[in-house]
Amino acid sequence: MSFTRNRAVGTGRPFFILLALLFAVSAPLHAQRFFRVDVESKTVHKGSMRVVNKELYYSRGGNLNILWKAGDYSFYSTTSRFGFTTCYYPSTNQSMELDPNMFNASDEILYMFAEGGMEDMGLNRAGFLLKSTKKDGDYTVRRYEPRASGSMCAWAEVAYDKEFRPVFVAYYNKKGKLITKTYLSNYRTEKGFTFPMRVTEISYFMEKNDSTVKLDLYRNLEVDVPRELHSYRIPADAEATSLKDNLQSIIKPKE
Amino acid sequence: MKKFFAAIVALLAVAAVANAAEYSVDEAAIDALFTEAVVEAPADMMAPMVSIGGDATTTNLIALVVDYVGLGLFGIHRLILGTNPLNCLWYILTFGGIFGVLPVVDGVMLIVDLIQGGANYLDNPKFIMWL
Repeated sequence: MSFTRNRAVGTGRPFFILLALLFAVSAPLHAQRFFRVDVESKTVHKGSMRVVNKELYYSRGGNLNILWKAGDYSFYSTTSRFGFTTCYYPSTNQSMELDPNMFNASDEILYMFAEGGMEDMGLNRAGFLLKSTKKDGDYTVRRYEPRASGSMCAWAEVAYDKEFRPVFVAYYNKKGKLITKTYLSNYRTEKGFTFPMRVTEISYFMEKNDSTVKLDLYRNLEVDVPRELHSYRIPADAEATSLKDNLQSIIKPKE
Repeated sequence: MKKFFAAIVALLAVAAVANAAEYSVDEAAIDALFTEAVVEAPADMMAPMVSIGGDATTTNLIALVVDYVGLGLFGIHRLILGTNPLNCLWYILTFGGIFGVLPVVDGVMLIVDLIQGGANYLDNPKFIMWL
């Protein structure tokens, strides 16, 4: 009897260990997802328009890599999961670290949606707390307030459509005036990943009586298609420069 | 010039059709706004990477100058930054903003804000704006 019991234990244990190992090895592979999208970002202020084209590459748990193109100029930026951004200018082989205040990965809506921030539009991570939820016609509207006092923004509002996709986000100051409002539309779902292909942002931040309108038109959304730029690394021999030093080479690249 | 005025009209139209009570925007009006706009030169497109922002910067600069010419003792620089006018009374009642300490520190904080390109002290209702 004892021989039979021992044999049963003897064959069962390696099986479970193997199963656990298999799960441990395959779990990160399942979690790894690749996102890529092109965006034409247009901004109008006082009748003047700026156009920047970007190719965004993000692998969950990895870096957010962006190829920026404006006219004849192009450069790369890579943002680590810890929030540090480094730009690389191929024309001069120079790299430059950016202050997190200048560029944050969560500024990119692809990153926010890929990281599951669709539900609260990244407000929780930004230090906001859900205060109330109400129905307004076909929309569900949530109000968020900052955890800490002294913030320029007094509250934020997110409206969701019938399918609970965020379609409207607005930030208000202490006087109840709008700072920024964003409309998200033309949602597309690719391999279970839902993403707005058109984002319109109207900002009243810089001036009291005028607004800046930004329109992001996304195209070529790809999910789980690994590309070379997902694993882009800045060349090791790139010359590190500061923002001040690099100012001229950004505006007027060396010939 | 025609294009500029057309863009202004389109901008006003956008503001009219899209208010906070609505959760969708008139996309045709937005598209018209971008159609009418004049495209800036590529060199200017890089400006957001390296420059500090427009009118918030001007306001900060004016407030800084006003602060350092002595009007900061009465909190006038805070008025320019859009604070509650009652704060000026507090500056006066505390003998020039806690015996002149606040205007000095306010000035330093405004310089830091200018360098960083921020607008952290606009419309700030607190007596001590940097706390």
